[in-house]
Amino acid sequence: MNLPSIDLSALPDLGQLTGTFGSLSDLASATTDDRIVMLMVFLYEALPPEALL
Amino acid sequence: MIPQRIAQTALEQAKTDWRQIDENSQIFDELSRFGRGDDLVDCPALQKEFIDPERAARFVRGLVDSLLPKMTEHPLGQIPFRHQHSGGMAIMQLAAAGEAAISLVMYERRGSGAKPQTICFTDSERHEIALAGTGTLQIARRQNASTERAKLRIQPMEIKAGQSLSLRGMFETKFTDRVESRLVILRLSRTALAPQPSLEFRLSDGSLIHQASGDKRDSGHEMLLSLLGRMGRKDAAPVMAEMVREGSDHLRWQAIRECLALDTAIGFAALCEIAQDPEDSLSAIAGTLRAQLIEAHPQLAVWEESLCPV
Repeated sequence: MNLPSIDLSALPDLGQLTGTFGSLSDLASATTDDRIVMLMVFLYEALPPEALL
Repeated sequence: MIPQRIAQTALEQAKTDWRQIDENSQIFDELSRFGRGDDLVDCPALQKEFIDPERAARFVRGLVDSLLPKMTEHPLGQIPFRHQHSGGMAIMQLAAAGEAAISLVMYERRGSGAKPQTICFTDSERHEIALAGTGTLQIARRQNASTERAKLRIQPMEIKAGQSLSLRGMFETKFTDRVESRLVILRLSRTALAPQPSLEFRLSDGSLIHQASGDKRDSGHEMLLSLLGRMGRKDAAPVMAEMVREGSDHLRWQAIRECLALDTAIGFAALCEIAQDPEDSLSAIAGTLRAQLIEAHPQLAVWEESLCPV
């Protein structure tokens, strides 16, 4: 059967949106409070220092 | 000139030497257990590190004594710890295992700038001990369970070298209000195994300003979904349909959306499966979307019937 293609932008989001891990509002001052600060890589990680040995 | 690889080897060796100091190796062993979910009380050496000022100071002094001479010798070497410095705060991650990490945190002088307008609660626990300096913290507690409007109680707390502080979970946190000259803290943190989303509230009225995923793997998977979607990787649709089955509601819903846009048949089958399961937390919204799609594309209803011949 020939099914229609569906446009992503036509699909609704959940009522309460959830931002990416670590994301903040424009009002936030990230350096003063107690959230966990984490340096992270989402898609791939370059050589860690150990690999330079 | 000394080659970079030799500089790096020397700094890595300094780190290894510090980690292998007798007293420290036990702490790192216990950090591994703590990172896997053991209670802090069952990790006595690690716990003492964040209660006993002398022990904490010795831990950091060992690092300074081991690392600084090597850094002086090799100024172009890279510090062998993840670190960042911005907005008057420096943080260096000394060790990490599982969900836990030990970090050294330094706040520069502050107090006259703009006051923070929001406060963020994360699903984690933090045990800290001040190593040097003095400052004023504001301890914030949520006094109701509402995730839309928090009843906040803020209490100031003076902190100075030698003092410890533990904060746990989604209902208590702090922000650093005022620091004289500088404040250095040793921090042990652990995120929950299945962390709830972080919630950021406005201090003035407690209203929810922002919600973010509490799980970095969730966000990583969401980015992978988007990337595969933008690349038009139709071969990824079956994997996306699998991702609909577990994880946070947010990630599962993004997987449905991307899957539907990539491959209507696979995505619509996954959507119907959720809509038909009354136990599923996404059942209602999946049912609504299914109805909308069938209204816009009536052939989907015919195709759905062909999937489950009675």
